[in-house]
Amino acid sequence: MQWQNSRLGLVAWGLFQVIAYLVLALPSLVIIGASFNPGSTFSFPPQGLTLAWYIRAMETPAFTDSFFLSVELASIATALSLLVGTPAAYALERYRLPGLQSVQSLLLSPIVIPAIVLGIGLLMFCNLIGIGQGLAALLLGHFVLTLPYVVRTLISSFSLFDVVLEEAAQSLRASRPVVWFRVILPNIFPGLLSAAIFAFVTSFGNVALSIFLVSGSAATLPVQMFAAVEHSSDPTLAAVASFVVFVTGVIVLCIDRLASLQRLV
Amino acid sequence: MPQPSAVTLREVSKTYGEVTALEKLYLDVQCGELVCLLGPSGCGKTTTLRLIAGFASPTHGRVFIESTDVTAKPPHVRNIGIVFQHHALFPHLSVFENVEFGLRNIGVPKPERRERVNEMLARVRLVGLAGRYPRELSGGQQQRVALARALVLKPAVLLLDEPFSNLDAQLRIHMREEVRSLVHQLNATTVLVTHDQEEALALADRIVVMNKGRIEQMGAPSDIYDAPQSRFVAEFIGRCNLLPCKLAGHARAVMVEGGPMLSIANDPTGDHGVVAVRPEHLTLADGPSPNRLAVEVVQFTYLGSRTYLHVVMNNLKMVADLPSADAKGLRIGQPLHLTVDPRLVRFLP
Repeated sequence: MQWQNSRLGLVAWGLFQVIAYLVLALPSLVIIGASFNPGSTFSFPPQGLTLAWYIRAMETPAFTDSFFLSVELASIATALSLLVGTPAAYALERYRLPGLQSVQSLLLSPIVIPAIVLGIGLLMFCNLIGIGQGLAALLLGHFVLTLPYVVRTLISSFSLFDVVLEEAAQSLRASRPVVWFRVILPNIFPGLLSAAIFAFVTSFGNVALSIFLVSGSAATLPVQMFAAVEHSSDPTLAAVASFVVFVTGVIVLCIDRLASLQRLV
Repeated sequence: MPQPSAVTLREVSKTYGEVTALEKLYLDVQCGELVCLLGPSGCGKTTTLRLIAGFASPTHGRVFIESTDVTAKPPHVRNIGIVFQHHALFPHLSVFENVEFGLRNIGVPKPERRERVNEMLARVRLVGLAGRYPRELSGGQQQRVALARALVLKPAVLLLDEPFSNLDAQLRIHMREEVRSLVHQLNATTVLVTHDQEEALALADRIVVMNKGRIEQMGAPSDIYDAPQSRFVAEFIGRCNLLPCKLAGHARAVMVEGGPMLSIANDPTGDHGVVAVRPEHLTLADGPSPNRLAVEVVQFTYLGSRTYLHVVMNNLKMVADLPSADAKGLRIGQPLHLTVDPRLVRFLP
């Protein structure tokens, strides 16, 4: 604890933080800078300031359509994962049933398997069961993708939740649904929130899986951007990317604020 | 006039795999009675409480609450109240909402809820703290909320699971008194689980001493203390000298091993056993008296008003608990005579 009391220690710590944040944020900063550049090529630092590329992006249906598709997809996948993942995490944490170990590894396997392998597998599977490429395949893929994050996050939430509170609620005439809605869920709310953020952001930014599962007519935003990068390098793409960074940042900030408010109450 | 039973356990057994936690337990708790389940950890007292609450179900036997068979019923329809060791208040609800929780679940309309919660909070002297959250309360206040939360529903039986073990010594005694006066005011039937014999003696109308999944003895605190029926009970409740002995050939008398003949309060059975003598029942013998024990002083433990006198009698160690005034002037190594009233000496097989 002594370094915290010395001036040199504090300066070194501050410097370390600045460097760490810069390394993490630099790619985003370059993109955001480039998005305001008036010239028609990708360049950094910007030689001026313009919003023209943002307007161009908003006037490009390929980007707006895929943005809304991505939001829709991420929302539904997140909701589905929470719906399935919450009881799964509860069971995995609470009950020591035989075979649970393997269920647990199975649920977490998508984190271990490379996304590209998963993507090929899912594509074959979707063709096999006849749903082919498209929204249903995307939903299935993103559900598989986000579920492990939800289960992981919620397992740690449940491990911190005191099971005696459930018994207390039962002794106070609470049926199982009441125990869930009035005791368990309010107490694991911060966990649910961070699971939702994880799931949403993971789904929203995914390329590797989606690229196998989109149908030609409807691509998700990251896939659209990936495709766009191949045949153009004008700053419209930088504007779209900056917008994504902005939206994601705002969501995370809002929810973080909400969660800390929740903890204060 | 016989009171109706609030809780009845009939031949209740509970096994976990190979381990038997409870064996053929019979227990009746009368309405308005405060029964204390007392025993060392692992004796089955907590299992018994959980079986009554419905958090566990018996392997054999039946559980009745107010004459209804609840063996197969879940906890929330059993009409019980419980206070846990760590209080288990809902951290996301205020004091008021914690107490209101159960009333909402049974559909009590809002105005009545408010009235009943406020009345209960007044009883436990927490009116000014209704808007606080559990983490803003002291240990004693949390306990009072837990009590109010359980009692506001007027349960058939209030279950207390080691409720004082988390509190510091002073507060424990204070809360003990508070709980007793509260359950007496409300005439609430109560089952208290504890390993603390002093707590049991202070609170219970009836003590059930448990050991290894069985009931060793049950009765009023003074009966248990004055007339223990087994070595376990004699040693677990209070301090006790157990002196090995043989039959003396007379009714109500035994020969202490290598020592004198003692007149005792009960008829010995078998051919040998122990006599139980409470340390505080031993007094200095002045002049001729029955039950004289020739001993030698080994050590003193001075405790203010009382002094523990450690003595030996033919290699048998004993402790006498004397008023410090009597022990004054005694020296280590000094031979002396102790005596004990025959009515306070019991033979245990």
